[in-house]
Amino acid sequence: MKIQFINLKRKLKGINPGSLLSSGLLGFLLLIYVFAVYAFVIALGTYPFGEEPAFSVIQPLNYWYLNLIALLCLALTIVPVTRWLHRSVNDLVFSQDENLYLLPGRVNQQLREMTNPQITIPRVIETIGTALHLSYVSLEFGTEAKQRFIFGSNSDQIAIHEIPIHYLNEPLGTLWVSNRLLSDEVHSVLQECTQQIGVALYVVQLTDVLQTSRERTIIAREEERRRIRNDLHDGLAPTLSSFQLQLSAIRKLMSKDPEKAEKMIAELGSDLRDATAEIRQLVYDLRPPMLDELGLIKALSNMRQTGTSLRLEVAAPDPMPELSAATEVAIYRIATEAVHNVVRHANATTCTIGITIDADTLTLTIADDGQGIPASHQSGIGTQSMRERAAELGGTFSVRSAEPNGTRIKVRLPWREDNG
Amino acid sequence: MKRSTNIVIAAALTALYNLLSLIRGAVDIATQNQELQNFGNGFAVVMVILSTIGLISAYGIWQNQKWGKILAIIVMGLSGLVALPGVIFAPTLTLKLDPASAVVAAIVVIVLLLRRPKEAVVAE
Repeated sequence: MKIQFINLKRKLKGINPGSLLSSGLLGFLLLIYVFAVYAFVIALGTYPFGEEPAFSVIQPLNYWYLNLIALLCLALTIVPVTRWLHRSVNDLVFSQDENLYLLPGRVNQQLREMTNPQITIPRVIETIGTALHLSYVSLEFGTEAKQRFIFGSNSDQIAIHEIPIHYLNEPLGTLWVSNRLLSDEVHSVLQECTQQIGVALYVVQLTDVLQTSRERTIIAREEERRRIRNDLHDGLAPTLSSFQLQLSAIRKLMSKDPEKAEKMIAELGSDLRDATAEIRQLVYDLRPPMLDELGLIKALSNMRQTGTSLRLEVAAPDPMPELSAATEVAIYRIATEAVHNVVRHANATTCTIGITIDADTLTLTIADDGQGIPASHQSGIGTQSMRERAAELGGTFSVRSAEPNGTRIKVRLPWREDNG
Repeated sequence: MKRSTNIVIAAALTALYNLLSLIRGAVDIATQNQELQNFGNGFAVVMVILSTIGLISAYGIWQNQKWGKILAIIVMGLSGLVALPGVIFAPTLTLKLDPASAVVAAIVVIVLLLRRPKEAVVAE
């Protein structure tokens, strides 16, 4: 008995006052409807009024057909009326009329003040859940590591309604809400809220990407500095020191052994040429000098492939629009790497480098007529390097076998007329 | 504050209907209406109380408050239910019209309050 009482108490405690009011109101209104239909059918059916004693009306044997008509009217209308009443009563009881349409504004305000999504998003879903009297709201977002915040609970096992969050056709997350109370108005308000959340999440995602990109840029710059420092310190500095020593030795030998001094000068000349080549290589690694001397298209055409019969063709707009230094270097490096791969692996006779430019995209294609990509092929460092160079500029890289044979590399880079 | 047409009509109808009921109830009590003697003054008192609550609910509707709408639905529903027997049992057409109009008013108010306007009702 005591256990039953405790169970009853728990059940009563779990009842939502709103649900109770909604159910009570619905029952009350249905009762009025049933009685009203019955009363009006009987009243109209007994026209002209007042000719018979009123109480005889409800005697079934006298006016059984009126009861039947009333019953038919109710049978035909009760389902749509109940549906409409249920939806409308839920709307009235559970939504905050005075605040419902202010909700998107409140959500927008919270999102505008967002500094940390971990703090703001829970507040936003709490606002939505509280304002719309939703027993359960959950939001999941994030591309790699998904994060999910939940407001309330779905202990009553109510059906969950799913609203995808996206912006510019990019899926960004999902909002789940308890389904019971979703009238058209609530649904449209939720849609508006999710649109705003979508914009905010998109901004957060872009900020993350930008931050990561900045970090990568700084890391790359530091890596480059370290490489140059190492090249200078380990390569050029000892070479110059050795030149100094050799010069001292030559000066001493000049008077004593001119023949040997002459031989050492010749060696020194050879070492100087090596050192000059090393400096040239260092400079070339920073930015290929051919780009400045010949321009991009001629530099690509003059790409020398020693020991091969590969025919290299370059197709580009004439005149070629001015490109930014970063774009030029990226195109040159990617093309160089691609042609190098063609020579090494493709067994091709012709390789075509094509550059096309449309409104906002520069497309670089490198196609050959070689053997294509073998099924067992795995991307190597070279492919990864090309992909990274394209990504650094916000572009895309793809490589696939071409029809009927050969390989086709396609790089799409963002392009603007003012600065390439 | 912007109010939809539904709200304005419902508030006006609720206020008018309950005001009339209140006056009639008060007059019935004051004049000891013979027709109601079978029920005593209790019926008139209940009418006065319901009408008073109905007037308060009309104010709630006018203020676009949820409690006002729910209260009005309950009060008008009860008024309609109370009037329904009159629609069936009143012996003449004239006597039937009075409860019938009460029932119709109750239904109209309830429908107006439950029917959502297409435009958003925004509190400023």
